Amino acid sequence: MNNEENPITIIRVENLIFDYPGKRALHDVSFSIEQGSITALVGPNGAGKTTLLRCIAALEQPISGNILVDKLNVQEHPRLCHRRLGYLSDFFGLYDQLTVAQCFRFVGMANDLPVHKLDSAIADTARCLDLEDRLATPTGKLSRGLRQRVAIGQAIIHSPKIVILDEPASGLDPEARHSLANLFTRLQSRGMTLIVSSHILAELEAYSTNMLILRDGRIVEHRHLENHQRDKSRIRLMLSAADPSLVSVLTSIPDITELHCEENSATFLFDADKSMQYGLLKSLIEKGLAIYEFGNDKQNLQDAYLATLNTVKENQV
Amino acid sequence: MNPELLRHVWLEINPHRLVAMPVVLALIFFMAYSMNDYHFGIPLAHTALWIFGAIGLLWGARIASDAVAEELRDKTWDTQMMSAMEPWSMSWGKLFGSTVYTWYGSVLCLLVFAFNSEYSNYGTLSKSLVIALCTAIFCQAFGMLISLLALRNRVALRSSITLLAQFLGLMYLFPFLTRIFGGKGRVDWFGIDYSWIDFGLISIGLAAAWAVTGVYRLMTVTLQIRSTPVAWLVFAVVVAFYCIGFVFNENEVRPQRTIISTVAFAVFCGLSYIAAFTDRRDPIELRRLIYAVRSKNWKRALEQVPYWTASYLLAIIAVIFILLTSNTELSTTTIQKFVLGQCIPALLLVARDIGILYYFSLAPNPKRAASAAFFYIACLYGLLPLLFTAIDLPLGRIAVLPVMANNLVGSTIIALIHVVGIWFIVIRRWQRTSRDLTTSHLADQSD
Repeated sequence: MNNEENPITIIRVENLIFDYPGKRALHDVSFSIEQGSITALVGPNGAGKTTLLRCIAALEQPISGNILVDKLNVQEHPRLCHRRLGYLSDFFGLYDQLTVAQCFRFVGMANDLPVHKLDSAIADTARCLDLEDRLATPTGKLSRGLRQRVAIGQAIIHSPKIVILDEPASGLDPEARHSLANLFTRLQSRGMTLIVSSHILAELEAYSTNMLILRDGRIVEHRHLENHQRDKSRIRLMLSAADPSLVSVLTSIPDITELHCEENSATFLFDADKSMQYGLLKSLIEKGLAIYEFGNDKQNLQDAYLATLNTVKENQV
Repeated sequence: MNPELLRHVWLEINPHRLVAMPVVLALIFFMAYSMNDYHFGIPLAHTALWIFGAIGLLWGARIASDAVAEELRDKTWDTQMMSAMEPWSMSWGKLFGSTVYTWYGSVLCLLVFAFNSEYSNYGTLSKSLVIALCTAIFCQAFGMLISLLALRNRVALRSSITLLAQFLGLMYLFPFLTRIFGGKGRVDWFGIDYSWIDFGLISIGLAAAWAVTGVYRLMTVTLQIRSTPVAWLVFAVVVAFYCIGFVFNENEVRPQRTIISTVAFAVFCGLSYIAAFTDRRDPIELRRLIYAVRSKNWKRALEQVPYWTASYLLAIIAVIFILLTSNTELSTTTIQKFVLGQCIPALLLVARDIGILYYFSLAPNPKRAASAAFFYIACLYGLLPLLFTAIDLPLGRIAVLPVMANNLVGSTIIALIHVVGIWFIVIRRWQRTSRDLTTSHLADQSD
């Protein structure tokens, strides 16, 4: 992870081990999350994403390890941590007979919001989620998308420092997903730190600043997406015909990282500076590579995720 | 206002329900009044008490039990868990909030009872009202306790279990309440002669207080707040103290100490069984304990220690007291001689039975561990000794039930063999479970 901008760590997970009967779900997991970031937690089914999120939210007790949320040990002070946390579970439920306003009031009170601030907090949350005209509606009569918004409202009404969302967009239509992405960006701009787990990587790409990849209960990558895009470019080059010297030529250049070669093509990370890229192209042609295409490879989050998983598998083999 | 209480008021109270309850009760009481030749008085008070029982004890306990189960079913439990509410606020808010409507009906019934009861003086009437209120609190807290236990053990609470618990609870309470409200007879407790109503007040008050404490402690654990088994330890001592009150006789000092220790021993053994059968016993809990011990985190280890160990420790202390205070010359009755001779084997058999429970709990599929263990323990105490008696094989009977031997050393050795044998296979199974986990861990890595 890049720590050049002196980021403040708001979540620190150290050597976390979690077991289910007969299966270890998290293996010695350690990472930290910066304040004000939006971390996309991705990984295949059964990777341990929900377990990890539930441990951070003090909903599950690990075998060993430490979780610090805003410098508070989650296992020692779960209730204090809950004042700093908002959590939306993947299979959330709402009190169907209560109105949206009652749901917000209950959760606000349960999270120690002072009585004189309750009304304004309910109004703010409703405005933030475009639920102002639904405050008097029982949640049981709302559509799936609106219920999702109410559940998010319950998670943020007490203005937590950290919001944890497990599959927040599942079951939502594209329009609702788009507005959700906008909401997350708005929450980040208010200074909240978000951890979002999702299978839909395209949607995470719109707002995530970091990507945490979990596989088989282990962190396989924790990447800062913004820096990655700002300082480096992923370059893709294509040759007119297969060239066995491609790998050796590219590996001989020290500034190239994360190289993936095939017979007549390659992708790699290189400096984002245009003159540097021109120099690289010139030197590769001089070395005899028959390049017919050279340019930025617009690798999306999904490609990055799959590339990382492939690298992990190759390393294991 | 307690947010949980407020939420339940929103859900439970509406104008229709507020009107419906007094109307229905008024109709019932009018029926009782007409059947009593249009007279008020004791028959109406009894009717009020019966309806109070139905609303406050049966309905209230059922609703309190469902309060937690419904949160799980509606997937709202995470919202509750994520709140910043302290366990005590959550406990009393949920307990009295979920039952707020039944309390509305219960209070109306008690008012009818108060105006028609046979008690002429206000003291007795107040006591009987407090007893009724405490009984309802006890039943409702007990219902919630069962629900929280099911949640802690991650098992679905079936309505049949709730009904069975209600039935057993009422079976226990009914004769007790009949005597209290019958007002006849006296009770000798710690050498003091109490009227049934005074003794009922102490007993039901204690039971209600401990049931609410139990809800609070379980809620604490459920909300992931760590706690040590201190409350269980205190509860065990209080139950033993309560039971000792019935056998206490200040005129016979020496044998009295042995009897007191014996009663305490029986209580602690019984509570060890209850704790072992109701507490979590899965490998994860044990692994947490072992990890805490290995990392010498003694505070964490104490928090992870199974509750049965606390009451079992007290049982060991009680056995030491039995042996220290015993005097064979003063042990005149057969029961006293039996206790002196068999307290150590009995203590060992408790450890064996808990070992059997752990053996099934550590199985790959421990879903029915408690019932399987219960079945085998019942066989060891009932079926097999009867079988050996039937085929006239006393050695076989002693082998399965060592306390039947007339020899302290012999029965202790046989019981010790039982304990070592069962805990040996428990440890083997535990090691296999841990090995399987390591193997799956390595297999995951090699995928």
